[in-house]
Formats: sequence, structure tokens, C-alpha cells
Amino acid sequence: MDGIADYELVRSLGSGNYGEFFLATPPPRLHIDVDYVVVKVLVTAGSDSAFNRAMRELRIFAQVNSPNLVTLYDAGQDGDSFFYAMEYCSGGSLAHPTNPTSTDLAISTTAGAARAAHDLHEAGIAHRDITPANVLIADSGAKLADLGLAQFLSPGYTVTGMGSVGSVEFMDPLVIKGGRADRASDIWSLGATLHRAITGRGIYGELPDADPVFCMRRVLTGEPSIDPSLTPEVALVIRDCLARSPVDRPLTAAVVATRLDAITSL
Amino acid sequence: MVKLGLIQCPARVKPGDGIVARYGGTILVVPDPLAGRRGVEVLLGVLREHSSPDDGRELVLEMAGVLVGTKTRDLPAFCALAHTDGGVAILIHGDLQATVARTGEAEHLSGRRAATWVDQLIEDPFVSITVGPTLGDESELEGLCDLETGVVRGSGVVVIGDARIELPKARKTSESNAPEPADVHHGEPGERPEVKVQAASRTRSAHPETASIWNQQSSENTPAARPDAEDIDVKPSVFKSFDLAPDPFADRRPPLPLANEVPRPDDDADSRVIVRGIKCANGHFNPPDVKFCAACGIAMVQLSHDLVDGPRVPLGLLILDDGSAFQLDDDYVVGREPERDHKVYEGHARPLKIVDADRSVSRVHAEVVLTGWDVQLIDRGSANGTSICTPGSRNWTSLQANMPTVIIPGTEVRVGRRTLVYDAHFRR
Ligand SMILES: [Zn+2]
Repeated sequence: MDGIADYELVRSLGSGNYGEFFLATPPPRLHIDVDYVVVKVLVTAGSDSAFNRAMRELRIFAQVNSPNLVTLYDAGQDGDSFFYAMEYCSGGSLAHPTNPTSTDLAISTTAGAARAAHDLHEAGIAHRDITPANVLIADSGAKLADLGLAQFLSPGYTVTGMGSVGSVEFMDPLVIKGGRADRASDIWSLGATLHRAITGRGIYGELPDADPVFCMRRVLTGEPSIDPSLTPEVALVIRDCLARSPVDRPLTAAVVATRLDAITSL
Repeated sequence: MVKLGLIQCPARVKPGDGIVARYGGTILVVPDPLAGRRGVEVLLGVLREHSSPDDGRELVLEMAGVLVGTKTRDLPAFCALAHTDGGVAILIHGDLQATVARTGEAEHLSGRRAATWVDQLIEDPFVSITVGPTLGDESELEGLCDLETGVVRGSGVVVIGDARIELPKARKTSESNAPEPADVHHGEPGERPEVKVQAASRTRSAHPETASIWNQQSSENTPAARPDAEDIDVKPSVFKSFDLAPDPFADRRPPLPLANEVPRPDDDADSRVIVRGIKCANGHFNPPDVKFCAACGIAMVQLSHDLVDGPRVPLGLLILDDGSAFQLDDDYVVGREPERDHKVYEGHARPLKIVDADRSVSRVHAEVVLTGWDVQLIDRGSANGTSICTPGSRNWTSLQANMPTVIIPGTEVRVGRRTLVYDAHFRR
């Protein structure tokens, strides 16, 4: 990747078959007063309708007024690539926090991400890609970043492999099997994200990055297991989020947020 | 609407130490003329000669000729604009940027990454064309002077086009860390056309005659049969940014349903293929030969195995070696640029794009076709071939080109040096 649009790329933040994201400095045309933005560049087999579908999701995202969602600055097309720029948080993410995170911070940050997810759901869209890497730690609280656009840019593209092969642990198995992304699948991802953020362990144990087929079988056929080090209160919320059937999960992400807030205020 | 054409569009000069020239239907911007004074003289001469309003393409051709005939270091970065019948011809050489604003979208052209130059025809109607050393827009119009004819000092120019509905308000710079979503160009509410997204125009497309000696991109149209290593990728220096402001008609959606509510109707329910299968005790539709329901896991043995018609559910996944996976609920064309295949662009198959730096994968390499509950694989005459290895076997079998082969769950598929695995959702 030798540049995208008129962004000055600082460094790569991760990549996959699907694309790459970068830390970048924003171009003057955006008229924004920030030092850095995160630019996500998606390689597409871009048809007009694919770009239109992805743009529609991004416009709705940009319109959702939620204190816990990152700001979207720009979106566009450069050759066969689709790109968009969003807010950068210097606090890092639950996957790579700038400072070590306490259990309470992990819980309250995930609660913030859950409120952002709820605001998206109320606006009619699912996030589709809630992972620790997309839950950012800002001074003002949590920020949920990004949006899963693979399905829109390339229909059938179910798992992106973006970040790492093992990130499939954050996906609702029902979606991997072709089900529709909805409130319940984002709630599932919130549970898996919180588990990883507090314990440092995945709900399927460690998934070997070198063997994607094994990872997929494990995720599709294995039962998630909750780490015994978790307090009963936290374990219960996570267990509910990871219920096999969507009707057995908390009905909204707002419920997840409320239950998590109740734990940290004890 | 009365068409003005470049000859009558107002052009406002941005302050600076360079030169901006305008004669008839032509405009020239040279922000740093000291970088090549002789070159500037030549360019100004060409500009005066071709100032008649029907001469725009000629001018660009002539400028391209100057570029071909001059060592690049003797020419400063410049941008030439010229009136043509349907719009404005633009040519950019060197580190200069142009923004073409249209209602609802903006397109950016940059000479920075072009080895030679960038040229394009900007079709009417446009809101504005802004040219300068950095990307700008018309937000700084206030206080700029119109140039009617002649040569003045300046660093750039803003040409105001036919499509302008109103002059945009001066844009505010956000003080906070959470600025409003970028508002590109607002038209009248309700009048904004659907954001138009097209493949970005390639550089130097307007004048293949002069450009062809530079233009390696012509190799793109050759079929994928020859060795793919000869491909040359030329990155176009054109990009577009889109309006993130909501479309009040298209973008409003009801909240997502709760899990205990009636789900929304499936968008693609009608396009599902109808096949014969069996239903589990909970009503889930499955292939006739499975032992367990793929949806709820209950055993199918006690059922009478009455065959019924139903919409086919996803058969499984194609898992790529990098961990990405594609749902097998439709046909795919596999390759480095599957979007070039007619089945993809006509909408009969989806693209399964493999980004392959080694180019061991052909642009159109193979095809996956679902028939009933079966997955068929077809090599499309790829340069490096397609081979399969069935589960439990260690032998790889090469597929004959264009001969469909049914693959069973667990089969590994090699396309070039990349590997895909068919992982079924059903246990048979
Ligand atoms: Zn069932």
C-alpha cells in the first residue's frame, strides 16, 4: 500500500486480505483540528452497488449521535479501494491499551461500547465487528470504533480475517453460519470482548493463528467456556451474552451496559 | 439551464507568489514559476495560441506535447484548464492538487504520484474546480478577486461552475476533538441526487494518442491467460470523497427488532434457490443425507425423511489461508480481479477476491458453482492451475480447465500458491 487519497500515512495498524488500517495525519481539506486519524482502506471487487451499500451504512453511522461512538470524518474511493477516516484515541483499545487496564476499567469501557452499539441498533444498523481492537479507551470514556462493512462491499464475505485469524472468537457462530447480524450478534461480541479484556484469554482458549480451519471448527462446534477467575457477577453477564439462542441473551445492548455499570458501582 | 462553459465561469485567484493566467477559454496555474522560467514562457505561449473556446482538447494535447518534449526538471508544476464542448479539460503536471466539487460529492485529482501527468475531462455540470499546491475547496472564496483575462500573481484558482446552487458558507474549523462529520457540499435538501459512485477515472484517459507511449495500463485489457507476472499496476492519482450528510429519504431506518420480536423480512429471501431436503423436529431445513440438524443439532434419525421443497440454506464456508471466509450460499468467481468476469459484473456470481502479492493467482482463476446441495469447482484456464486434495488423502489432483468437479466437505483447494478449504455447515 503506497498511500491512500491525500492522507499522510504514519504507520500501519493492522492488515488482512480485506484491507489495512493506518494511523495518518488528516489532509487540510477536512478542516479538522486533530493530529491523527485512523484510516481504514478496504480492497474491494468494487461495483457501484457495493460502494453505495457501504456508503449508506457509513452515512447512518455518521448520523448517530452517541457520545460513545467515534467520529467519522471522511469516506471515499481511491481506485479500487474504499476508504474512510475516523477518530483516533491515544488511550489505545482494549486489545492494545496504552496503559494497563484494571478490571473495572475494562468493564466500564465495555459498558460504554454497549451503549454505542445500542444507539446504532436504535438507528437500524448492526455494528458487525465488535472486538477488543474496536473498543477504544478515551479520556471521555469508551469509544466504539469502526463498522463491519465487508458484507456490504463484498456479499458473502463472512469472516474478514482482519487483525488476526483468532479474532473469529468474537463473532457470533450463528452469523458465521450465514445468519443475519443483528442486536443479538453484537451482544454476543460484547460478551466475548469483555471476557478477553478482563482475563486475557479467549472463550475458546487460544486459537492458533496458523490454522484458520481449526479455528473455525473450534468456534463452530465448541462451547464457549468462561474463565473461573471471573467474579460470579461478571461471569453471569458474559454467560448471558454468549447464550446459544438469541432469545436467551440480554434483549438489548443497553441492558448489557446497565448490568455492567451496576457491577462497577458496587 | 444556460451553459456557461469555462470561458464565462468566474475564476477567483488565490493569493501567492506564483502566476495565474487566463486567456479566453483557458486558465494556467503555476504556483512556483521560478522552478522553470523558460518552461513557463513556453506554456504561456501555448495558452495564448489556444485560447479560442472550441480549442480545449487541442490545448491539452499541445501541453502534453510540451511535457513530452521537455525534460521534466525544466518545467515547474502546473495545471492547465481549457473549455471543451461538454465541460472542462484539465491537465496537471507535478505536485499540484485539484478538487472537482459536484452536488453531493467531490473528486480529487493529484499530479503528485503521476510519473508524467494527469489529465481528464470534467463533465458539466460541476459546482467548482479548485486548483492549488494543496487540496482546497471554495470555503476560502471570501475576499478573492475575479480574474477575467491576463496574467496575475497567485498560487491557485477557484473556478465556479454552472451547478452552483448557492455560495457555501465559510467553513468553520472545529475547536473540539469531536468535529461534526465532514460536510462536503450541501445542495438543496431533497434535490441531492443519490451519491454517485463510479470507478475513478484513470489518469491520462482523455488523450490516448499522446499518452500511449507512457501508458502501461493498456495491458489491463489483455486476457488473464498469459503469465500474470507481467502485470503492471499503475495507481491512479484520482480519488473521490463522499458526502457523509444523511440522505433524509434513503437513510432512515427503523430500529433493529428485538430477538423476541418478528424478524425483518429477509432482503434476499426471493433469490434463494429452492431445493429438496428434510426438516428437523424444530422445522429447520437440511440436506436429505444429514444425521444432525445444522441449526439446532438434534438427531435426524427418527424422522421419516420426507423430502420437501425449501429455500437452500448456506452449505458452508470457503476458508482462505489468511483466515477470511466466504459463505457458500451463492456462486463465486475466484481470482485476483474477479470483478472483471462477466458473471460477476452481470450479477450472476459474487467476486471472491484474493489479494495476492505474488500474483500466483490469476485475475479470473476459478469458479465455485452450487448445484442443489453440492459444491462444484471449475478452473477457468488459470496460468498456475487449480488442484484439490480430498480429506484423508495426501495427493493433489489438478483440475482440467473448464471441467466442473464436485468437491466434498473438507476438500482443500489450491489456486496458484493460495489455499481454500470447503468447510461444510452440515455433518453427514
Ligand atoms: Zn433443527
